Amino acid sequence: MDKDQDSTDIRRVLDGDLSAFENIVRRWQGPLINLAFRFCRNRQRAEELAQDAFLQIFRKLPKFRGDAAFSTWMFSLALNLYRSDLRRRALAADSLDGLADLAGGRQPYAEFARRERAELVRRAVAALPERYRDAVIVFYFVEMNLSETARLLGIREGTAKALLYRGRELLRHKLGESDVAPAMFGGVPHEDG
Amino acid sequence: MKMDELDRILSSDQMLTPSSDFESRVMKRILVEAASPSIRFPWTLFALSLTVQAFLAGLAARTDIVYRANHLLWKKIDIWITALSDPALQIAALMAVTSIVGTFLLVWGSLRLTGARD
Repeated sequence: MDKDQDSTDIRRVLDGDLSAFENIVRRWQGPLINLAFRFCRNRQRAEELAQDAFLQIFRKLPKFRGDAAFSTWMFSLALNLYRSDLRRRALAADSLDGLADLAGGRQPYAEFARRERAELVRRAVAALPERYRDAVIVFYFVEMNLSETARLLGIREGTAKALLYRGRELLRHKLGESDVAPAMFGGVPHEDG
Repeated sequence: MKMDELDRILSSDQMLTPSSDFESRVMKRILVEAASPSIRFPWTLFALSLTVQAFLAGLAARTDIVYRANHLLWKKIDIWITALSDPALQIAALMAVTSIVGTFLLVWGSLRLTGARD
């Protein structure tokens, strides 16, 4: 995404040219909808949430000081909105325990086709405790960039790392198997015993 | 399940394409938002009520002081100081300040909660 274009459009919007906001919407609608979808797993709801996020961005645009990249600022705003919406709606009502039925059996995934398997994993992520869930969702959304994950969540990188480690441990525990190695973080401490 | 597989699944989440009218729906809301003047904090009313409350508090204090000073109020300034150190008066002042701050927080909080002011 072009930072210069963002800056230009922001300036124009702040100068009263609302049509410039349309460029921002055009550029960022996909990412914002997809981020919302990862939280609510419902296309229609994701679009509604993204709409709300754009409205929020528009309202708060005068407060954007340019300390961080516009995308980081925008995603943080959207993220807070999505998280509080989810909290209100309690969509993540599935408890981790409830997944035991899905993952149960000697060969928990044998009967699942690849899609169901993926769906199971995503449901398990949605059912994680809030802070782990958010960390895992954002981490994969930003293509496994740990520092970006920390920035968007407004936490320190070490905390993000710990949350991800713990979140993945919980996933591993619930999804059944123990030979999952913490390969992706490189430096994440591993406590397998 | 291997961690690689977990990574693969979570990284390859389906990518939604926005609806064709998404952009126009957003802009419609933006235009409505821009057209409607946002509700501002009622600073004028707040300042007015602050003045009235200060006046009333002053009046109450004066009455109290006058009573205590027994008509010597305007002659001896130290009576003011004595009166102001009176716990009853301090409580009254505290209550006045609390009510002013409380009013401010109530209005400010209401505006924030309703989204009328960010």
